[in-house]
Amino acid sequence: MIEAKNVSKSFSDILAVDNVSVTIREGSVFGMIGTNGAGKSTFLRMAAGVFRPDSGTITLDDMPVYENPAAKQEFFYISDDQYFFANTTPKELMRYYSVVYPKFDKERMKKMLAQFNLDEKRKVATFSKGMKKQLSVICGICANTKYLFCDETFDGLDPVMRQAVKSIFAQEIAERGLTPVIASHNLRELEDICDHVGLLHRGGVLLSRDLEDMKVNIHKVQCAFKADSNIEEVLQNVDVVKKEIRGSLYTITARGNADDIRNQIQTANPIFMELLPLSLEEIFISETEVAGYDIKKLIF
Amino acid sequence: MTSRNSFFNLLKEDLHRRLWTLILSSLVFFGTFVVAFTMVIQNYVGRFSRASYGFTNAQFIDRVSDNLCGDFYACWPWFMVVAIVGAVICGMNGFAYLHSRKQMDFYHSLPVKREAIFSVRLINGVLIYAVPYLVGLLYTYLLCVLYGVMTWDIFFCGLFMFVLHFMGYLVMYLGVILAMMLTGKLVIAFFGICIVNLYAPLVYALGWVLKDTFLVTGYEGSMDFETALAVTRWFSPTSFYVSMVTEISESESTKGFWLLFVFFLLFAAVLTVLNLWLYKKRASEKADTAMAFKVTEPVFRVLISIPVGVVVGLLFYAIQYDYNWGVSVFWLIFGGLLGGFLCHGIMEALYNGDIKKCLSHKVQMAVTMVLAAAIPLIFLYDIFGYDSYLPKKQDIKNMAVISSEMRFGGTYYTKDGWISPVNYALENMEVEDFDAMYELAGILSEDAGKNRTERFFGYSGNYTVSAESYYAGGVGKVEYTDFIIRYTLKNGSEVIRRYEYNFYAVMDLLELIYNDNEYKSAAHPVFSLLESGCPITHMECYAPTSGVTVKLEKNCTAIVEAYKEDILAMSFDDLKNSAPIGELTVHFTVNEGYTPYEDSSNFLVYPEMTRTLALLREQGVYLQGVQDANNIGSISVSFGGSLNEFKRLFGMEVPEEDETETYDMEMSVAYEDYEMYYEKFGYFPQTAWAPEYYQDVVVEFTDPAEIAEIKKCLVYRQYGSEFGPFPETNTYLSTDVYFEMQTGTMEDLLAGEGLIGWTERFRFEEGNIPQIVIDRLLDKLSGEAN
Repeated sequence: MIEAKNVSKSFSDILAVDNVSVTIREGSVFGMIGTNGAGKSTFLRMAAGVFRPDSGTITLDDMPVYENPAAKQEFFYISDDQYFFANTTPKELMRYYSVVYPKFDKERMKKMLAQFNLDEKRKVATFSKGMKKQLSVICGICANTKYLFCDETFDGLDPVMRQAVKSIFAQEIAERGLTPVIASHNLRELEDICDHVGLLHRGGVLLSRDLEDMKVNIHKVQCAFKADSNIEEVLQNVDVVKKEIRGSLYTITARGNADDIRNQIQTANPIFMELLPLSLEEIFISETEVAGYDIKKLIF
Repeated sequence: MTSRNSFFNLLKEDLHRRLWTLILSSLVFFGTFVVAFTMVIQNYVGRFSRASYGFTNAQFIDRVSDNLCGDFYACWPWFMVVAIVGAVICGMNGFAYLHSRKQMDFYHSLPVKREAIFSVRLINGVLIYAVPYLVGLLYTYLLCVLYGVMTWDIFFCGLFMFVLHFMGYLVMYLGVILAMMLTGKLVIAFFGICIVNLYAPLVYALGWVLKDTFLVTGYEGSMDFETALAVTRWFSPTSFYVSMVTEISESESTKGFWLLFVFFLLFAAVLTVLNLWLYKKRASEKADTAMAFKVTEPVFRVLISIPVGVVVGLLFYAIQYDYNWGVSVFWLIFGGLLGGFLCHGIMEALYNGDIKKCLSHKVQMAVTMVLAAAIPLIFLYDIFGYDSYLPKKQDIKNMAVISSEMRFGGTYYTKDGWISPVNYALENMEVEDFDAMYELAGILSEDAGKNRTERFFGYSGNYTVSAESYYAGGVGKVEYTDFIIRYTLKNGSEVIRRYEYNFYAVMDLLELIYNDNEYKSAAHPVFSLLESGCPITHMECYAPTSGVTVKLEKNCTAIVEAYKEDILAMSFDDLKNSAPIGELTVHFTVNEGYTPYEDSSNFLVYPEMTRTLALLREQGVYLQGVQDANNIGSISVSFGGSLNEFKRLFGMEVPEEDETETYDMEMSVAYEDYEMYYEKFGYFPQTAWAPEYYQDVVVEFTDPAEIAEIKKCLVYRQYGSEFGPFPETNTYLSTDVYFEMQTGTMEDLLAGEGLIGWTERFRFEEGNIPQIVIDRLLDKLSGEAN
């Protein structure tokens, strides 16, 4: 478990991370979202032991991270602009990482390089941005660490590769309980992979919650009504977050128990009604509104 | 903790990353040893094995060995350049990751402690230099073995030079790393490297320039960069390296090296620990920022801006300074303020990467500017009383006084080798009865204050000496010369000052000073020669009245001892009233460095030196004065100058219309004021000595009566003041005496009664020029002028 308590970090007179407290459980995918400059990368760098927090503590399995190789052996950090040695090849990287990470799996890396169609003898400098991201993820997976810190890692991956990476993550989580911590400014990118989400804004955590918990209390209903329907009266009894009307078709996002919402809408005799899955974006809209923020202004 | 195995793997991996520096280093040492030294060894072997040399095998090996060892020493500039450039490359290349955010993210997220990353980088940088060097050296040894010329000398010489340059490299390398640690950008790091290495010697040099420019009684003279490096060796890696190597290479000796080695170990350890400590303290986010530590920003900014401001002030001073007007304090202050302001602003902009920030930290900027302007003023106004320094008499333990005009010629040696006459006197003269010296010091220090005023704030009144007083009594009575005074205080400290003053104005005091045997024994080279222990090989005795030089090989040390006694016995007055009759040249061997060499020292012999003359006579050498010579065929007296000069020299009246030498006037007129001068006087001031008719005239005396009269006044003093405690005088008249050959025995010859056509140059005694000479010269000058 990674635990950050009251962590703050500032650069000169800029407060990058402000009193953040977050707990990241093992075996789940933690998504860290926020606008540019929200403090995601700074937080990850502190979690990776690159930066020393000005105040507060970050522990990894109860071990302080900063300048602690024992704790650092438990994670692999992929920065937003990963560094590769000059003139290096994937093969050389493999050799280097196997010196640094005791559990580094060279055989697996060779296989994954083949799967991703990356030549192990080709200079990394000649790789495209996406190929470099793939290589970073492969190295991170093969390091066999308990945690994987990814900073904007999905940026630059094509949809196919993104899916491939996600499925590798899923496989690793299932097989050995890998805990990826993924920082991104893109909600859509994280919604189908994250179990737990933390929202950072202006250096602070707006919320940190399990995605499932959030989904239980918010629902989207798509329904159609006759012209003389009393739907507007009915909706007075529903906690509507968002309502879109296109002719006779209503798309309603509302808080509350799914059955209660369904029953209320049924009273307006819909021609058609269906409960739809909510996007992470929609969930966040509702959650942050509760917290008093206009999420649209924050992250879109 | 990183295991040993893992550490070596990290070393190996890091070396892969720095392969190009290893290749570069290998190429350099390949070129040095495998190419250059192979050629050198082949050359020596080929040359010294030639039959024409006729060397035995042992001699052949010795000769090759000596030459090769000499080359190891002689190549120090090349090895030094390699080490300095190599240290900069390895240090910057090895620690450049500190200046890259990407690399910081990478390295500092790895499960490796910073100590391990630092150690790996540090060690590889050392190996990159040391391993190719040692491989090249081993190759050289192997080649010597193959040629059969390997000796222990070659082995130790090569190894010693390796240790020496390795020490220099390591200190330089650690200095570069220090600069990398303190900065966050490579360009700033490069400036940092320059500052770490050059700040101390340059500030020292600036201090010296200030002292040299504004203090008139400094003794040390002009600064040489070698001294600056030696003094600042513990404050700058470059100073340490260059001063250590030049000292040892030039002396070709390991004397004092091991003590230096111990200090080096401490110095290197301190630098290493400092670097590691800084690395551990250094925040990763400081990559790509100008300075890694906020606390160092004002320190560097202020410490650099102040000397830069002082330099700009001095520059303005140098541009504006006028010999007659003196210095303008305004420009000195303005330069300091401007330089401090600009440097402080530029550094602030560099720190922030924003020119708009150049006016940040206004208080610090103001303090910097004020200090930059004030420091030269402290020197200019001699706030600390440097020039007027005169310790209380009761605080002085002993004193030393030495003047260029009050010492003897010859070569000075100590047990440690050659030494300058001034240094010999300052090191050996400890006069405890120093009343006369203290009185002299009082006069000189008081005069120094007046000199300061004239030098920096313009001349007041008429500076020049009138012709009457200058030529008083027929000889020059104004002879400005240097006086170096050392005070050894009772608290153990030593203070040395250098003054300029008229020799004749303090002659009475100088006589008292000279007559103290303590003074003589530290002023005459004969004492240094005896104390140095340099073995005397032989002597030569020259008789000016005959032109004969006799080689003496017996009793040389006894003669020198006798000469010493004679010198002690002769007073100031004796020397002043006497005249040399011969000259001894003592040849001796100097064991300085590896190769002994021969040197010599000349001593004048006076008729009063009875002990010396007696020993010379025992070996058949008879010396006589020119007054006793009866074989003079002719005497030619020459004068170079104008008629009016001649008249003034001998106190004669010069017609008023000829008084065109407006020397006094010209000194007080600046070039810019010519127009004003013209308006006032109706003519332009003279810019040079009056355009009188200059001529060389020679008069010859052949009449025996005239010769007899003239020779009474002649003095043999071939090299002027170098051979006595008086200034060189009567340089206007030179006298060539022609001695005719006479037949006779060897004794006659040695007594000066021989040789055909021997001409020797003499001078007239001070204030004792026969009227007949003056009249004849005047006639001739007047005749030619008409």
